Amino acid sequence: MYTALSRHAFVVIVLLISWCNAGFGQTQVQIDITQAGGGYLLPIAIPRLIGESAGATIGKEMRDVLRQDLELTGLFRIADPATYIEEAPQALNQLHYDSWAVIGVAAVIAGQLTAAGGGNLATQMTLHDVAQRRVLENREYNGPQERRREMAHRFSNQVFRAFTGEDGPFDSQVVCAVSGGGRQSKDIMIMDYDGYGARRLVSDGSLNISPVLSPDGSKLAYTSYRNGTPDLYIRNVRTGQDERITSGPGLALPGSWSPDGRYLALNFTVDGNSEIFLYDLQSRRLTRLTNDWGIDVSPSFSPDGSRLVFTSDRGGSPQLYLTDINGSSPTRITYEGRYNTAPSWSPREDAITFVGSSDKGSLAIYTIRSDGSRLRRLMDGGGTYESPTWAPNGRFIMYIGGTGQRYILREGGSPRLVPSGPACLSSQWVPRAGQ
Amino acid sequence: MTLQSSLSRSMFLIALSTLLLAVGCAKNPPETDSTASTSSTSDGGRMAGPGATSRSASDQQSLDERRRAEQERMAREAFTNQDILFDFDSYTLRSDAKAILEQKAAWMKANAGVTVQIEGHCDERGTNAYNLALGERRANATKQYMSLLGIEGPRMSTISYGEERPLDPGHSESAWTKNRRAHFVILGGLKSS
Repeated sequence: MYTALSRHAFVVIVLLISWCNAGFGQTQVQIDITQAGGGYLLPIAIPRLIGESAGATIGKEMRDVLRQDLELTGLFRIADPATYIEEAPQALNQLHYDSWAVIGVAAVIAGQLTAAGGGNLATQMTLHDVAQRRVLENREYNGPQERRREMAHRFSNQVFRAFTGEDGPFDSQVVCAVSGGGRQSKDIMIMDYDGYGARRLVSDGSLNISPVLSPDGSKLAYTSYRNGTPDLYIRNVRTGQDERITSGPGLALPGSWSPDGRYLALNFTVDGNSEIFLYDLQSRRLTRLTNDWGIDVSPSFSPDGSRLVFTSDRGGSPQLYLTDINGSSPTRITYEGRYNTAPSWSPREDAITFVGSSDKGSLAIYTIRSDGSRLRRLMDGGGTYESPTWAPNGRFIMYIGGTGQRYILREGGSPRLVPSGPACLSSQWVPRAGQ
Repeated sequence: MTLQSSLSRSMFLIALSTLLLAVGCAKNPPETDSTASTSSTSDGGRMAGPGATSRSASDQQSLDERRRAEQERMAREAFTNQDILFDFDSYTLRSDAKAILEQKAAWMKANAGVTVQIEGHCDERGTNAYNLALGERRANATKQYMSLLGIEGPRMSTISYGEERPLDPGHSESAWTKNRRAHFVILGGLKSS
């Protein structure tokens, strides 16, 4: 009847009851995430949860998470609760659909809180299609109260999937370099994608930057100045033990892990010149991939692990280049503008996001295909931007603005500010560890 | 070397000798320990008193030492405070940067035991990894020019901070100009004074 998703995960009871599919064959509202950009936002109501008053602020917090998640996509609009005819539904599976149809919402998220005691929380959530008068999703979550936001993020994923047919990006985390305790120090933190639940992974009073978590979340590659030079370390996240991969004076920065987690692509300066290397975790050997007078930095693996995109100024200005994992004959893929850097390859398809210079010379977030076609500027630009990174579902991009605030962007959408979390200096968007 | 650099070098020498003359006039009248010339110093006010003529030779010596120490301190501060600046997305040494490096090289030659670290920095525009590599290039180009001016390689180490440690935390063109820099830090070898 129930499935334990992981050792530590709360129990998810999936109530796939036959009436879930009762309306199969009818036309349900579907959002094409690649096209929706014309300003249509699917209106959704999130009324008070049944039993919410007994749960102090928990119910409201979960509703706030649902609202924030769905609004950040730029695909949904949460209808103003002041317009709701019913403050809360009578029962989860019996909505007065007419009361919701009349205020113009397409869907309703109904929820119920059951205080389980002992710091535990049990909650059930259903997604209703108002026009079709049926339940699209029904989930029950059981677990410690402090994981209430995670439960809400998971239901946001269900809502996203119901309307787009794609995995949701909400139950995910980001790894960030943030200001440390001292004026000159920086720490590395991991937190929910929306900035909550932050905890420090590296904090030793020195300058620690450029964190890149391995695909299974077990290893953190980063650069630390703790021994006087910017050296690359790989930390075992579970034990906290560090392995030092490079020793100065040359700069070393991690770029990207191969999808199978065996290789780390990095840049390392030898003889005063920054080159791309692969570090093989099995043989513990560094293999040099580039050999050129220019700056070569920021390697990012293709989803199949066979190729890398990186930044090089070998042509006189920083541009994106492609090479395979044997380092053979790099080819240039960007030709517009004089500043194209920080590439990140989508985990799902042939799309690379990067920070580039627009026609006016100011910076913006772009995407391009690996053959150099389909160059798209995703936002107006004009400020300073750092480390665009794809959501694990490959449908959203997070980037950092001038003062460390994070934004979420979708092709065809406009940037949305992530409202909370510490100022980040670089970030990587990853699946929630331990799933 | 090019005409430009030899020109800038001779201009530098003129500037340096003018500076030394100026410093010498104002602070430390050289080669004279008679009271006559000291009356022209900025300490003249004190010299006017009757005690002036009774100043002992050892007093004068310690005054000279203090002046020399002050002079050395100022030269040292100029060495560490005066950064060399770069254009956006460039690690090419400009002529003003070369002139400053010539002063720094002269100071390092006069202070033979000193070792330094050359820090390369960038402004906040552009991206972290590229700026770290660019800062490294700035530090390396600076070190290379110092080597050409006769400073031994082992006396200089380099490090890049990219855009991690701006001198001016502002977000304006004037802040960016100050932040695209190579900065000298004295690691050791200073004679204690």
